[in-house]
Amino acid sequence: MKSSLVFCLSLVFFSSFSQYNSEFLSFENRGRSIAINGEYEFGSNGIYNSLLNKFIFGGYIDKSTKDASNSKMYNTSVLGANMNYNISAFFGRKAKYSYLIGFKDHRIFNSTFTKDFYQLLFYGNKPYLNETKNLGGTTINSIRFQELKFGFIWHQIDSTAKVGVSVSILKGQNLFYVRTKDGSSLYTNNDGTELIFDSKFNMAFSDTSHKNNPLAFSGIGASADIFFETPYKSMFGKGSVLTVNANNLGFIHWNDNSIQYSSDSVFKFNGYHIDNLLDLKDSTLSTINQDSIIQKTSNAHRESFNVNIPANLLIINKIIVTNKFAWSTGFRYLFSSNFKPYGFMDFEYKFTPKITSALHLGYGGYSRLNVGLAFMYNTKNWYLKVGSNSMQGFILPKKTFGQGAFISLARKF
Amino acid sequence: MRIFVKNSLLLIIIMSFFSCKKETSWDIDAAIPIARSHLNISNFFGDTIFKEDAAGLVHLSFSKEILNLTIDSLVKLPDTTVNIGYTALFNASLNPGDLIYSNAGMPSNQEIAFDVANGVQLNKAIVRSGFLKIEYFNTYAQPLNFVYDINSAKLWGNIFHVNQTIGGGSLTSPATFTKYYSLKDYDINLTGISMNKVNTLVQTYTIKTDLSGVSDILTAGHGLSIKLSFVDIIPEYVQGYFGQQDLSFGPDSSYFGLLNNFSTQNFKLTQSHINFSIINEFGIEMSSTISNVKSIKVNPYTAVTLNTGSLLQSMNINRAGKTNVPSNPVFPYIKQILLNNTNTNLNPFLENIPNYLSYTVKAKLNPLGNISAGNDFAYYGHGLKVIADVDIPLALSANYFGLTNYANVDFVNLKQLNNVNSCELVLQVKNNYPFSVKIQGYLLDDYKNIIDSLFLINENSVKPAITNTANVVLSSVDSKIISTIINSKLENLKKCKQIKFVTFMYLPNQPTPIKIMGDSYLDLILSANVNYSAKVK
Repeated sequence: MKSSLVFCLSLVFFSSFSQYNSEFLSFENRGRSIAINGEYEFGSNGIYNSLLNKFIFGGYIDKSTKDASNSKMYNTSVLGANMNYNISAFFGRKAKYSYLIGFKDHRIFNSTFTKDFYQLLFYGNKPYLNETKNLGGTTINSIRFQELKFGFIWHQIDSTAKVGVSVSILKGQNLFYVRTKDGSSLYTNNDGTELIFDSKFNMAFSDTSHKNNPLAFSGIGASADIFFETPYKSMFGKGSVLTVNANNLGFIHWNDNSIQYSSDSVFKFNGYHIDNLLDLKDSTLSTINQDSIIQKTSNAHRESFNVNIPANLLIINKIIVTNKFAWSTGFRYLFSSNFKPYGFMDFEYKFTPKITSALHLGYGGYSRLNVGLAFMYNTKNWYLKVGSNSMQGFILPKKTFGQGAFISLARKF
Repeated sequence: MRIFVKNSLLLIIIMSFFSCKKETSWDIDAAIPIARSHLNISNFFGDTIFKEDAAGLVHLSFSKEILNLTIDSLVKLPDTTVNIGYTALFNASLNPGDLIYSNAGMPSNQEIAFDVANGVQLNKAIVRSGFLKIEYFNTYAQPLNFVYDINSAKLWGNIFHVNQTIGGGSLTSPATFTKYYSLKDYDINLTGISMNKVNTLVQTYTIKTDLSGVSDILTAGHGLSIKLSFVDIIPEYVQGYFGQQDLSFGPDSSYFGLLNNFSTQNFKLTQSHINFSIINEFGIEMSSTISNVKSIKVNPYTAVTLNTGSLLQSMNINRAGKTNVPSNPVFPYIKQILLNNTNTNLNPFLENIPNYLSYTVKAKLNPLGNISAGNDFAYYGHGLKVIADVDIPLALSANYFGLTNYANVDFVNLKQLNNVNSCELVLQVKNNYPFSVKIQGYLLDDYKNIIDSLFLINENSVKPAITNTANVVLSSVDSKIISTIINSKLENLKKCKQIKFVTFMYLPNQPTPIKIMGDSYLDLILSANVNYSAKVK
């Protein structure tokens, strides 16, 4: 009887309520259906939302906005953003398992940066005359790819547990990667007439000829998702559910037109040296351009290479306290990124059989403290979930780090 | 299906939301080094014209070629045409190989005399390039053989020889063609058969029926006509008596553009020298006069005549000698005449800052007649040159010097300029010269109109170095010129196609001369403080 109760309650509270970029997590509620999903999350543990919002929604970043983050920033901070949207469908005729097919567009950006890097980027070098600004340890990693997914979920193992597996073909669209090594720095002398750039860095680009074209085929790869969920009897509440999900386990092979740069030299620039006033030519005054500077400061070569995509690990333990209330604790980590270990708790309450809400509290990841809310409307034919793991970014953008939102709409078969 | 369409539409709306993001921007303050230069006086005018003497005083020193006479100024070999051949006076029956005509034993028919102008009497010539052009006309029905020798033209011991077969023809349709035979490198004796003539070479030729023909009748009025032409002859060497020619060159002028970008007021030199070098590589005596030497300034026009007295009058120029080294066959005679500020008015002549030097040169060849007994000579590439070596020690006085330089620019494609909110150009100067400097950069449009200037008036001065009363530099002085580029100036910079830099150097304690020393310098460092709008989309 007790196990039946646990099973029934699990039907209500199974699956994570938050945004974790996995279709399997929502299967319990949406069942066999076709769904569209979109989610984004971004944050930094050094830059306030008010500044990051400008990169999402556009606008002018004023001095007070820059100053606010500058005063709270760690010596080394992280910044990250994930955005994806997809269309997917669970289908099948068997009672015990269903098939999954989906298409998803991923945009992933993450960065580790020094406070000096932030200051140079947002204030320039003029306020820092006669100072050496440390750039070592800064990374920027931006990747965009599309995914075609095939999988299945076995949803009646031992009556209650679930196992899901999927494999995906990945189409790489665009990659930009920079990593500066220890010692990399920029020095500006006391009157701004000399720059010394210690250029210890590696940089990689995917084929730049089609980087803004969503149909560009700059790389190809594969990935897999694994999902496991099982209820169990616990000391607390009426029962518990353990969920382990790992998705985006894979890599992309960027093609032969990809470019890699590396530099390990110190460049001193104190202006173009003019030896003859009679020979002031265009070449002196008007041929400064970005490409020539990069070519002069680094050795570039074209070759293919592989890059792991950030893999998402999620472990959730949910305790069903009452028929209407459940409490989850969880852990999330993104491999191959600078995502900090993220611990969280979800408090879910079921208002009616169709409407459920959840409060999310977490710390870590790309940002610091996260507070979120989510609502689910679930009927026989429709499933709708909207919410955010990081609502603080919308309410107090000048005082908080990180924000995100997700939406999922499914039509059940 | 309807659900799928609806969902897809929603997906597109979401995608559109993110793709329509507005631009993000923020302002940064960048300190950017732009250019630097360590300038000494050479950098203002060009490296090659300044030399430092043992005392460290800089001299403006350069050479200018005023006159360069070559071999063709003395000896002109005209294109010469001679008609030879044979026309039958009566019918004759001929077999293949029969001799028709030969000029052997007919001395009057063996010599060709060239009509060389100006009374030049050549006895020898070596041809650098040129041709013997032979035009053949055969009216005999059978092929003829023409053998031609220039007995007085030899190459490696072999005389010039032509052996040519001309096909058969007729009066109405003669066999005709033209061939060019190179005379390159032939050594030609021009003394005729008796070896006592001039401008005369010796030829022999025979005309036979060719062995490839058949027996036939050579009817009266038929035969072979030959037209010989010596064309495009350029001598490598000529020898003889070149006559008592009177040569005159000019009035002519030589461009003197070294100081075109230079202006001054009350410019006074303390010393100056011009050494006229007359280099004679002809094997001939001459008497030469250089006159009417003027320094001409174009704008505003002023001309100063150099009063040289008799220094450049009736100068006796001796003949050059032969070295017998083929690669360098001439030992020139060099005559030098030194003009300075004491034996001429050279200082005011040069203080005019000329754009052109005008002159007239006259020369009389062999003023004493044929004293070389026909051994005047001239080689190709060797002639008579007049070179002026100018030397001006830069110990001078003036109210100021002005320099004008132009720099072509095109900022249209420099998109980053659109993101500059404001800019401060900072020019740091360390001046080791005794003069103060005022600098201005004028922005010129496509039509050379001034549309703006870089620096504010009265904020564009560089202080002079610290000097003693004799204007000797004791220590350098630092100055800073700041130009604030506001929006309107930025817009004008974008339109600008050329920047005209005008620099004035004001000399202290005038008229006390200053000395420009080799270790004097002007250090310039140009940097910019830019308020820049960084933008991403």
